[in-house]
Amino acid sequence: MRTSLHDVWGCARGPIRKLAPEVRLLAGSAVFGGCMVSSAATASGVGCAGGIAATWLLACRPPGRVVGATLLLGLALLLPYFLLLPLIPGSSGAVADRWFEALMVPWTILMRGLCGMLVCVATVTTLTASDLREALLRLPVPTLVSVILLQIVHQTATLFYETRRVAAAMAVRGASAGGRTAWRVLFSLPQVWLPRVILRAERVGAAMELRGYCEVTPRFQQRTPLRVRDVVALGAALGALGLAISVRVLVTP
Amino acid sequence: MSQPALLLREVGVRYDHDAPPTLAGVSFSIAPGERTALLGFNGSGKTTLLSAVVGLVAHEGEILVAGQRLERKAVGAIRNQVGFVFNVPEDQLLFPKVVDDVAFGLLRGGQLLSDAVSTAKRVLGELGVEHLADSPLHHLSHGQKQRVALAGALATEPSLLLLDEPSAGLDPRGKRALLALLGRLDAAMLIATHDLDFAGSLCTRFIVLDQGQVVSDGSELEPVRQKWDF
Repeated sequence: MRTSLHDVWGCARGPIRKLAPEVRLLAGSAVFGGCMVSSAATASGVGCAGGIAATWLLACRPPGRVVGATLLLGLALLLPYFLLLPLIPGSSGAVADRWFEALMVPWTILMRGLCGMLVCVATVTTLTASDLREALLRLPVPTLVSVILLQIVHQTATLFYETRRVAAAMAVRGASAGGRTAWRVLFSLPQVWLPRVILRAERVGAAMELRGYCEVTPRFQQRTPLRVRDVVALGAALGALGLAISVRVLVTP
Repeated sequence: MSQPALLLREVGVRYDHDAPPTLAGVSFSIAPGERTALLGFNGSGKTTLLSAVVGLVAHEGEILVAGQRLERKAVGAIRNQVGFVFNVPEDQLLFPKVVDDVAFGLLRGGQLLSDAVSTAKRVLGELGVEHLADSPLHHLSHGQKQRVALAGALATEPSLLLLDEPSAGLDPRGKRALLALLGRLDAAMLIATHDLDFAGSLCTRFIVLDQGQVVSDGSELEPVRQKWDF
């Protein structure tokens, strides 16, 4: 299990990885914000969101397989919204206008969704789980929120493996055989998986309590002051956000 | 005479009021430095007993750790004196990197980062896994996670070690290393295990639990081996 969901963390090779962890997180958030405020109704808005996302991807340089998988997942999740086109009401007017208005809804979801997903995944690939911890601890995020968020990220891999083991056991015990056996095994999944997840959560909670996880938040990396490149990168990311807002305000009809 | 490292008086645990108690009337004490094996079939109450000692489950009766009575206001101080290893090591590994997890207890105790990291690496080295110090935890095998969990418990040099199936999942070399390491420690130990050979190599006292009650408590393993086929 050398390649896993968890291995996405920290696998990027771009110059963004050289920035301070909190700058990576902040800059990623600003770029994400830029994609979200861009209008999908104008060519300049689309160009702005696409340009910002593409620039961030180039700066982060996540592996191609990660980008490909994210695109595939994004398309699988977001393209079905176009099936709702006939159900989306448009304002009164020409038929073509109504269809165009309706088309804008799933198109906006698709554009912002894809750009947002790519930016988020690229940001994640620039941070190892330890970097994320340091970033959150250095930012003015409430400690309790940070430690719980970090534990969620940390335990996600465990749950992922747990689910994979349950799925493997189901496959071995008849889920792939087809027919009634398969259905019986499949329907038993929630009854098997949920109690396991709940029990694990209880045990992890006990360990957190026993080890005093939420009482103190020690830092595992020496804090270094921000360098010029950190400030420049953060400025550029905030500039991208500002640009997206300006385009939205000035260009959108 | 020094206080016992652990003293239990008529300890009982009941998870469900309609069901029989998981533990009932358990009384024994462990002297400082004494290594005690807690033996019993699955469901006999071994893990519940260990959990009760650190206040993870509510109990009746009296539990004293190094003379300090286990109650709400003292639970934090007691936990600081105890090293605990769960039977599923994954559950207690809370940090993404091995060395961070092992160093956590030391940092929590106020050590400097550099000291904590060097101590953590030394303990990992004693368990034969120093090369894993910078590895992500999710890359480790079960046996390696077991050793990392042990390292986290041992790093703070607790006066009482509670180990739940510490040899489970370890290969023979890992087991030998663990035996050698635990054998060198001065801490009192209560080790829940089914592994009679492991218990026999390390412990000088053997307590058998059956249906939540102590049914045997002695210094000879052979009678235990003959009477109960764990």
